[in-house]
Amino acid sequence: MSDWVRIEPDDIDQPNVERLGHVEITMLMSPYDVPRAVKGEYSRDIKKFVIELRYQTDETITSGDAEFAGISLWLGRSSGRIHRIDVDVDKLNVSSVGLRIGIEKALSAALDQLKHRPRYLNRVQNYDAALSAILRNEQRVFAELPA
Amino acid sequence: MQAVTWLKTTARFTNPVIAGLWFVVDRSRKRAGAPTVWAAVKECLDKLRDDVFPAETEFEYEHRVTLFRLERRWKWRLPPKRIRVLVPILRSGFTTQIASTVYSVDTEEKCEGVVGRTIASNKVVIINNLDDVGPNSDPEQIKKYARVTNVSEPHLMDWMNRHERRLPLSFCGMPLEVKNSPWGVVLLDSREPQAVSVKKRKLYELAGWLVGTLIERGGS
Repeated sequence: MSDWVRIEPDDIDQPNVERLGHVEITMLMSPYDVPRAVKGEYSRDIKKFVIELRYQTDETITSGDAEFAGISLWLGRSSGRIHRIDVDVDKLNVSSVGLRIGIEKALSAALDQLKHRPRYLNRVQNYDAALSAILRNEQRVFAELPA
Repeated sequence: MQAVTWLKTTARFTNPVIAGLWFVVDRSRKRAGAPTVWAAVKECLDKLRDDVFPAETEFEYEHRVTLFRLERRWKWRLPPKRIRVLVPILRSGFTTQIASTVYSVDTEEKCEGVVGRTIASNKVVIINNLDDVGPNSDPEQIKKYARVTNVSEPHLMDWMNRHERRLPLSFCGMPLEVKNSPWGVVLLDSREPQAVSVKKRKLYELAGWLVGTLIERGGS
């Protein structure tokens, strides 16, 4: 049973600063879109590696809308934010040595495809933040997988 | 006795009217939300104002926190059209309660004000070091202020003339979600040029979360 890894918003969301003369305009991600914690563990019941993300607010999540090669994304019903990622390790068809890199590549590709769906255009920043949260903490998220 | 007889004879007309009135009052009451919740939301806005802005302020209107709600309204033109607008519904302080400016957020390109930009981009928008603009300022300065804050020049001039005041020098707009859907914006504005800072990010987030949760539990 793995533990939740706490995420500091400042680590995954750098302020975007624009200067017009002496006027300073700073843009930050919506606090609702920034993951607050992440964890990864292998589920023997469904035989998949499951990554979960927690946010400032809870939400009912649904699956089936975002299925990609070996990757199933569970999205918030109202918001479209990523709450859970199921990785079918067997379907990814990568060697155990390159498993982590294989998952990361497949996940990036899945999120890229999701970003181009009109329904989820306004959640692009959440998808980037979710990926960033996982990659920044990959040692702990993928601790149950071979290095 | 006469009243009972009158009610009996007119029941077929009065009953639907009473039912209709009951429906309208009930809907209005539900939409307005619990008064205790709104009192708590107001306290949150006051607390945020006190914690973010300096205490040594001469006038309340120099530092304000305003809650805007996203609504749909009819735009009366030919043909009539329903547009999304941000309406101010609550504000910090006691002498700054009258807020009437409504901002259109019809599309991302047509969004008005810092609040419009906040909801359209779904991001926290912080603007600092704006020019000190008043009714008699240089037209170029007014034009620049209008461009940065996403409002029209006539709107700015109208606001300054109506209130006989100079414009805020810094803003912070925070998107607010209720039940995981966009609900409105919490806007901080100040006459201090650098009143809002990224360093206080956690405080803004906490206040926004608290306001959103209160509204979700008992507001509209």
